[in-house]
Amino acid sequence: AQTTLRVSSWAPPTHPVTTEIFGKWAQDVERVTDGRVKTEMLGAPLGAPPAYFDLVSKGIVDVSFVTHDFLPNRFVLSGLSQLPFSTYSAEISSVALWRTHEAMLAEFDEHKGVKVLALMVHGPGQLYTISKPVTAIADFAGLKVRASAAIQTEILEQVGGSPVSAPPTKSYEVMSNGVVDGTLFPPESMSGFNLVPLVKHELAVPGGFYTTSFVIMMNQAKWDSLSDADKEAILSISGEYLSRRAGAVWDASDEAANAEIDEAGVQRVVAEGAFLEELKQTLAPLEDSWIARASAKGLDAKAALEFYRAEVGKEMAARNKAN
Amino acid sequence: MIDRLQKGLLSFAGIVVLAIMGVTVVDVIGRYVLNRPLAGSFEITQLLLVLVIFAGLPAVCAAGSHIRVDVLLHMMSKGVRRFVERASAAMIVATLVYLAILTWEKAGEVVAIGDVTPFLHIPIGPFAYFISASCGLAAIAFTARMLRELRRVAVPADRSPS
Amino acid sequence: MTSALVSIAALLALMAVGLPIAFAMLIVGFAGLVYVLGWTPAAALVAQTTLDAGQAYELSVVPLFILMGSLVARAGIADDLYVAANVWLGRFRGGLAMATIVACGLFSAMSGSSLATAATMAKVAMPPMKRYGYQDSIAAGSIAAGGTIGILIPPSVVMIVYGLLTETDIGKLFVAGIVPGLITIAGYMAAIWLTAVLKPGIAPRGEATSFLEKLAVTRRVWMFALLLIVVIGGIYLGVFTPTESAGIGAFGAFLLAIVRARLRPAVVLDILRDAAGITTMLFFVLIGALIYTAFLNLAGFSYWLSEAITGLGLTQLELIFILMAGYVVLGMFLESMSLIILTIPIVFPIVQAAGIDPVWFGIFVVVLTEVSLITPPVGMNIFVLRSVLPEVGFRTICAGLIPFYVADIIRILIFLFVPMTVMFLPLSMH
Ligand code: NA
Ligand code: NA
Repeated sequence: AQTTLRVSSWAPPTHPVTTEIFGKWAQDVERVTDGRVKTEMLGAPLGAPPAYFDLVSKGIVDVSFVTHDFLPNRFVLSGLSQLPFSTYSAEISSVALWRTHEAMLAEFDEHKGVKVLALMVHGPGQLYTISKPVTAIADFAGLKVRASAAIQTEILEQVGGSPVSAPPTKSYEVMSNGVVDGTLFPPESMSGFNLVPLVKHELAVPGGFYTTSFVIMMNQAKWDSLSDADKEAILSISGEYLSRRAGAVWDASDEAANAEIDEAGVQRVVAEGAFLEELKQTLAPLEDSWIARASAKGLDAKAALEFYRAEVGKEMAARNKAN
Repeated sequence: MIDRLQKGLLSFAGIVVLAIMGVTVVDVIGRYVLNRPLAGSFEITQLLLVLVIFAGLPAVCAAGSHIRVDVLLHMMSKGVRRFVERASAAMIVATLVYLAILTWEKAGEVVAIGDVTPFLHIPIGPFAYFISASCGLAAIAFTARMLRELRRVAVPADRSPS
Repeated sequence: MTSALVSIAALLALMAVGLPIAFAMLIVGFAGLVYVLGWTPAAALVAQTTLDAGQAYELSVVPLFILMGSLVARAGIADDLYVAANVWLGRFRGGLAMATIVACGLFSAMSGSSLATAATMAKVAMPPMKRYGYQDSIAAGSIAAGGTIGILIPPSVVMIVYGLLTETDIGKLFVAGIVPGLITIAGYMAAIWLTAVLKPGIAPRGEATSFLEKLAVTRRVWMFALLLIVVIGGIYLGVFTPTESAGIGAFGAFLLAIVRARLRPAVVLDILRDAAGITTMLFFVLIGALIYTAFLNLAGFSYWLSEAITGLGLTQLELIFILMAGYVVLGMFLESMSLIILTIPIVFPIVQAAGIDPVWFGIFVVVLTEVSLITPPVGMNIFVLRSVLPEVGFRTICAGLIPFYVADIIRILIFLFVPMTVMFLPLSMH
C-alpha cells in the first residue's frame, strides 16, 4: 500500500528550512522506503506559524515544524537549549538537544499528539544595532530592541534594554523606520530578512545571547498507520541524523550570512573579559527561572541542563579533535 | 432585548477601536518623546482586534450587512426567490451554530493547555470563549432577523423596502 | 483538479443567489476540506483559522483608517475640499466635475475605501453640479470614477489586504500608490474636459472667482493638509509604520472632529460603531477566504495552476495581459474585496515565479480593482451612487462612465510600459 505524507513549511518556499531540511528529508523518505511512502509539499502556508503544532496534531498536515517559544506554556522543557552562552554551533546544540530529549525529556510527553522526528536549534543569536554600538552593559540602558520570543524579552529586560514586540517578518519595517535601535537575531535571519544593510554594529557573545528551538514532527496517527518497515526506514533518516543535518543547514546559512555581514562593513565587537563576566552574571537569573519552571513540571532540571551541556562539550571535543 | 444587546456589543466594539488607536498613540509618543515604547503593544493590538471583530459579528449578521452579490436573485420569480432566500438563511444559521460549537471545543483545549501569548503571557482562552459566544449570539441574532422578516411578509399591507 | 473546479462553480453559484461571500467561501471551503482531509481535521482547521484571524496584526490598521475617513467626512471636510477645488477649477468647461475628481483624490488621502469616498463625495458634489446644469450621466460618472481613487491613493484597505496576503511591505505599497493616483486624477480630468468640449452643454462652466476668494477658501483646509502631511509624509520618511500612521491619523482626525466640528459623543460613538462593523465584515470575508484557499492549497490546485502557467512559457508581458483580462472579466462580477482575496493567493505565486515586482503588481491589481468598482453588472461604486442618489438610473451612470473607461485603458498602459511611474517613489524610500 502506498502512503502520501503531506509536508508543509511555514518558512518561505526558498528558505533553507523548506528546501534543504524538508525538501531533502522528503527525498530521503521516498528513497529509503523504496517509494512506498511518497511526499507532497504544500505550495503555501496554511496558517500562522504558532498554529502549526495543532495543524500537525489534528492531521491537517502530516509533517511540519514549530517554534517551541511560540507556545511558551506548552513547551517549557525544550526551552533548555535557548539559554544564553550555550550555542556555539546549531549542529552541535541540535544533536545535544535531541540526546537530552531522548534521555530525559521525552517521558514528559510535551509533544503529545505528534511523533517527534527531530529537534533543531538555529545558530547563536547576537545583537545587531543600527547606529549605537554596545560595548558595555551601560549601553543597553534604554536601547530599543526588536523581540518576538519570551527568551529575547527576558534577556533584554535583564540587561536594562527596552524590548519592542514585533514579529520577525516585521523586522525590516521597524528597523528601517527607526522604531527600534536594533534586533536580536542569528546571522541567517539578518540576511534572510534583508537587514544587513540597515545595521552598523554587532555585539557577538560567545555561545550566543540565545537560540530558538524547533520540533520537526509527524502526525501521530499517520505515524502509527505506517508499516514497521517504513517506520524503521524513516527513523534511519530522522532522529539524531536529521537533528544533526538540520543544525548543519542552519550553520551553513549562518556562515554565508556572516560573510555578507563582514562584507557590508558591520563592526563586530566580541564580548570578552570583564564585560562578558558582567553579562553572564546579569543573565544568570534566566537559568534559575528556567530551572524553576521545568522543575515544577517534575523534571530534574539541573541534571537535564548538565546532561545537555555535557553533550555539547562532547560534540565540541570531537569536532576539535577532527580538525 | 436582542436589539439592545447587539447595539451594546457594537458600541463596545467601537470603543475597542478607540482603544487600539490609544495604544498606538501611546506607543508612538512613548517611543519618540519618552524613549520608552509600550511593551507588548503588538500583542495588545492583536487581542483588541479579536474583540472588535467578534463583538461586531452579531450586529453585522442581524443587520444583514455582509458583503454579497445577488445578480441571479433579481431574475427569479417571487416564489423561487423566497425559497432561495430561506435556504441561504438556513445555511447561514447552520454555519454560525457550527462555528460556535467548533470554537467552543477549541477554547476548551486552549484553556486546558494554558496557551498564552509569547511576549506578555496573556492567556488566550478567554478570547477563544469570547469568539465562540459571539458566533452563537450571531446565529441567534440572525434567526431573530429572519423571523421578523417572515412576519413582515405575512402582513400584506406592510410596504416592502424598495 | 476536478474537486477544485467543482468548488469554484459551487462558489460562484452560491454567491450569485445572494449568499454573503464570507459564508459562501466558508461553506464551500469546508465541504472541500472534508473531501480532502476528512471531517475531523477539516473542522479543526476551520476552528483554528477562526481563532487566528484576529491575529493578523497588519489588519488592525483597517478600523483605524476607516475611523479616520469617517471622522474626516463627518467633520465636514469633504465640503471644504470640494469648495476649495471648485474655486480653482469651476470656471473651466466641466470644471465642477474636475473639481469633484480633485476633491475625491484629496479625500482619498484620508480614506482607505473607495465606497466611502464615492458615498461622501456624492452627497457633496452632486447638488452643485445639478444646480449648474450638469447632466446626471457625467455628474454621477465623475463621482463613481473619482471615488475609485480611494484605494489607489494611500491609505488603502485593498493594499493592506494585498500586503497581508503576499507579505509585501505595506508602507512601500502605500508610497507606490501616490504617483499613479496623481496620474489618475490628471487622466480623469482630461477625460472630463474632452467630453465637455466635444459635447458642449452637458457640463457647462461655473462662476469665476477672484484670487483673494480662492485663497480665503483654500485656507480653510489647512488642518486637513497638516493631517495629510503627517500621515503620508510619516510613512514616506519612515517616521511611522503604516499601523502607527493609521493610529496617529485617526487620532488627528479625532481632534479635528472634536475641535472643528464639535461632534457630539453620540455621533462619535455612531462613527466608531460604523468602523467596527466594517472591520467585522471584512474579517469575516477574510476568514472565509482563508478557509477556501486552504482547501485549494490542500487539493493541490494552487500548485497545479502555477505549474500549468509556468509550463506555457509565457513572457512577462503576455502573462500580465492574460491576468489583466482575467481581472477585468472577474471584476465585472465580483465585489472588490472578494476579488482580491480570492485571486491573489492563486495568482501571486505565478507572478513571483515570473519575476514580476510584488509592489508594482500590487498597484497594478489595485488599479484593476478600481476598474471593477465601475464595471457593470456588479460595480460597487455604481451601487453606492444608486443608494445615495436613487433618482439617477443605473444605465445613466454607466453611460457617464464611458470617458473614464477610456482614461483607465490609457493609464493602465502607462503603468505597464512605464513602470517607473509606480516604482520611482518606493525605490527612493530608504
Ligand atoms: Na485612500
Ligand atoms: Na464590476
